[in-house]
Amino acid sequence: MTRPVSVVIPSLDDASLLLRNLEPLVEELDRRALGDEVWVVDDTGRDVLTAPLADAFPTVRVLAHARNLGFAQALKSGIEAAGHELVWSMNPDVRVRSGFLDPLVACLADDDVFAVVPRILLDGDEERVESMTRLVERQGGVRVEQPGLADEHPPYAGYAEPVAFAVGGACLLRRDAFLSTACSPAGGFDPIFEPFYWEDVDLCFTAWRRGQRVLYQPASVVEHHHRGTIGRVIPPELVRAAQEKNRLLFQWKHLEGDARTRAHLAALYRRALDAWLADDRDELVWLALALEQTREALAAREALSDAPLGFREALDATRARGS
Amino acid sequence: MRICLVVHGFPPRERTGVEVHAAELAARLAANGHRVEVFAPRAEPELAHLALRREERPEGYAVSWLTLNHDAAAPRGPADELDPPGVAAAFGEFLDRERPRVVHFHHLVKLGPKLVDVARERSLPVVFTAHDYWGVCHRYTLLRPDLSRCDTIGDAEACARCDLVLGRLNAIPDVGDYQMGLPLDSLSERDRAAVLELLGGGGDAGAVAKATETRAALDRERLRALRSVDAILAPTRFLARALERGGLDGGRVRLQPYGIERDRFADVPPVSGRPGEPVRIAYFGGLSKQKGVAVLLDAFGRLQEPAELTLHGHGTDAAHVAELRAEAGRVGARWAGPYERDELPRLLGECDVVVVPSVWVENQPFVIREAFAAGRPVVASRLGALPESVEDGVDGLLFDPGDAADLAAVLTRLQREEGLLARLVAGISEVKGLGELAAELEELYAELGAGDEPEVPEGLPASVVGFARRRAQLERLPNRELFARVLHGIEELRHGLGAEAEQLPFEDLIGASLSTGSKAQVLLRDQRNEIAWTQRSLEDRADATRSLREEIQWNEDSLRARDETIASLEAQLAERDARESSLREELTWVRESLSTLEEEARWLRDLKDRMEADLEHRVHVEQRLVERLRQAARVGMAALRAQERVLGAELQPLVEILDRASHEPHPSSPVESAIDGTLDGLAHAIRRSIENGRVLERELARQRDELDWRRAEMSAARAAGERGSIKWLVSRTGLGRHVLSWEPDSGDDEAGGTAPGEDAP
Repeated sequence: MTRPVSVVIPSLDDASLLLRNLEPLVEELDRRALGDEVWVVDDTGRDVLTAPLADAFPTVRVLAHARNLGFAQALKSGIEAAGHELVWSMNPDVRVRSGFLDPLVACLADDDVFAVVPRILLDGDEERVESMTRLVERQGGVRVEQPGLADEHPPYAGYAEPVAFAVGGACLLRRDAFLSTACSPAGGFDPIFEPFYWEDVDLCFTAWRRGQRVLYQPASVVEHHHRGTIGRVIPPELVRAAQEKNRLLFQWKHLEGDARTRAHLAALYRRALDAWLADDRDELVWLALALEQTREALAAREALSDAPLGFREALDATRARGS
Repeated sequence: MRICLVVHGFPPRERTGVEVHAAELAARLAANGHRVEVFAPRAEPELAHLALRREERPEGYAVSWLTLNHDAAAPRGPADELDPPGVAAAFGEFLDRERPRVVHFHHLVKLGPKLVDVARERSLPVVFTAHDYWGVCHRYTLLRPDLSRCDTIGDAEACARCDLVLGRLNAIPDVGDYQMGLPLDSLSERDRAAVLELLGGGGDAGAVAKATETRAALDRERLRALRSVDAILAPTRFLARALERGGLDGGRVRLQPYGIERDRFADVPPVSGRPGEPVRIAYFGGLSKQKGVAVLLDAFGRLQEPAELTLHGHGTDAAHVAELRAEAGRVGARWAGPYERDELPRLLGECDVVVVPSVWVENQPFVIREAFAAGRPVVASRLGALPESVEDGVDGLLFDPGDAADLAAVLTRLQREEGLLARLVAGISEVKGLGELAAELEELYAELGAGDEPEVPEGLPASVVGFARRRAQLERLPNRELFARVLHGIEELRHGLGAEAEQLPFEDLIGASLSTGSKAQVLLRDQRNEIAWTQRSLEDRADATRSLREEIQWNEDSLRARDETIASLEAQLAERDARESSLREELTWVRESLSTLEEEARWLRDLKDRMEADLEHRVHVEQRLVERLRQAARVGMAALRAQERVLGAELQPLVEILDRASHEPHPSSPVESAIDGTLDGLAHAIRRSIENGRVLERELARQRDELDWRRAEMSAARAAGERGSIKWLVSRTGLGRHVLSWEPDSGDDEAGGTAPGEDAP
């Protein structure tokens, strides 16, 4: 049984892209005729989208931020405004294919499913799937892998499979679960991951630790014509610094177990020493940036202390295929 | 603020004015709460060239020593003067590691102006204190190699001539320390003449032009770098003007007199000025030629009244120092030698007046400020910026530079004029302190943005600005501070992770961290391998160098042989030239001879013609003579025959008588005797006639022979004339062969003549 959804699209000033990709979305929603709604969150701080959208898509509603708050806050604002329980979170550079929504909605029929991600084809290429995500531990650290982008294409099983996390730019999730404080102190993405990156990984992995699941539904297909806002307006060294800082914060938030803690701390010392000895300033800056947020990360870790699954169990759960 | 001071030398390695000043400034700024990093070069043969070693000083600042070992650092060309290989890169790494927020250059000699670019590339504010004239004079003294003062700032040719003179001095063995200049009377006549010629505008024009081009390019580059500096500080107006004259923007040059640690001199006892006691004169400083100590000793030797002179200091020009020392002994001055900086207040307390006898345009010698801080008046040369420091008759006295008589007069005045010393002591104003200087610099650094918050890239979404700013702030920290923060942060994390993590022994963590996958270890191993590989490469290169040397040797030998061949060929050519010249002369002579011979030939032809005519005439005459002779002979013969016939007829009767008588023997009668006499006479006449006829015949025959000979000769002469008497004559001289032998293809018909081997007719 399908259900109505609210679509939330956080956006900066990329109106033309948005107008182009809203078209198939609105068509799909019209086809569904279930009273779906679309919220575009204008995060430019300059309300640049209301006018163009009003002409082209009168049914689309615009929520304009008074100032730029970033992707996490924009998505949260939109989800807060959403009228339906199920929310399709979508970036402006995602172009949906017909029938994409129903298989996702079907996945959320199970209460323990926190979010579901469609088959996201990078640039529309059938062979390059972004949706399959997994976390791996290496030398006391955690990394994200997307085997669908690395010439490693798991066979299409025909049914939904667990993934480590749903890519924030194209996933269906539950409004209440997203806004609950179960995953972060004020609901939504954990603010320790500001300004960007790893917030969606953390949100979904926290859900896993809380005993929920995140699924990949290959029956639902969307295209991601990458035109990353971050890469366009933010210098690459800043992007990398945010990634590296947040990778560490993610680990600290979810770090548990003596051996893992020991291995991770040893890895930290090694990184610091290596960076010092090799004059690797970037590495030192990344470490320093992360370590300045140690307290927040440890507080978030503490908040998860009652989670039914530990890091290892959750990690195993994300890999339990056919679940 | 994090402040970087760059200086060309630093204590304890270097202890002269600028270096000590930089050290005092570093300590003061550090004491004011700034992070001060000094970057200075030093020679350290035990370290690799360009090795960087950081040393933390108890005064609270750090010195990063860049190893510049002499052999490796020796400039290999003019460009190295501006950018010694590897130095700029090492400075860049230093800046990246230490992250100062302002770079203050105190000198760039040895290091090169390229360092300014390195700082600018990192968007750092840059300050340059001009402690001397280096900005506009690569010899930084405005002093020519003959110790004459230069007033041609910005004239590349004048600077190039200094270079050429230095090159010339460098080639003179045992000339001593000539870098700052030397008196020309210490040179040989030839060298002195050559130096004077160069300095006077003469010399090899090509070499001067080339040196000028090189120097102009270097000067342009140095000025370009200095023009990108935010502020150029000049301690005196004189120096500021010189910089401006040299092309440094006036607005950029700021006047900023030095400050010194004046508290060090607070306890120096006042000048005694006891009446009747000899004035105690002292000199402090370097003992190089331009410091004018010789002038001071000369003046001291002229003083009439008792005085004391003590010389404190040292010099690297051993020969000059030895001369000074000998002269000091001669005039009775005390030679105190080098002194430690800490001793200066005490030593100043032991004198009444300090003399600065420089013969170069001094800037602002620290010793003047130190003397004033110790309450000692200064007697100084009226030269350069010295009058800006010493006010004549107020806090000291001035004399004409290099003029020992004038200095002696000034010192005598000091001895004799009652109360003068005390008035000068009283006239000394308070000296600017190092604290004031540091405060001025802090203000300047701040004005240039050294303390500003980092800027974040424009156009960032507001949600990212905070993170970007924080990252930029951390980016500005030196590596060691970042590392310290990180270590501290990890420790906090460890404690925050709970009791289990807290109880993990630190050694275990470090051990675990280093035992697996350390990038540093990998790097070290890589580096070790790289060093081994480099060593192999070096060995290969050494082999290659050896074989190249051999090849060069072989080539040199070949070149030598070739040179010898060339020399021999040149000698041959010279010989040939000489021969050619001689042959040309001979040819000219031959031509002249030919023309003479032609004339002679013409004369001979005329002669021949005349001889032929004469011969014909003679022949004709002879023919006529012969004819006449024949005729005469015929006549004679006919007469003889007639006479014979007459005689025959007359004799016939006689013959008959005789016949008869012969048959009848009888004694001779007188008739018979008469007949016999007549017969004898007839026989004699006949014999004579016959004889005459024979003589006539022989004469005729001889005439005929002579005629034939003459005909033959005439015929030969005619034939010779027909074949060309000129050629014949030329060939007779043998010159034709000479001509042909050196100019075989000349086609010069005149020089042709008889072909080789052709015999003369």
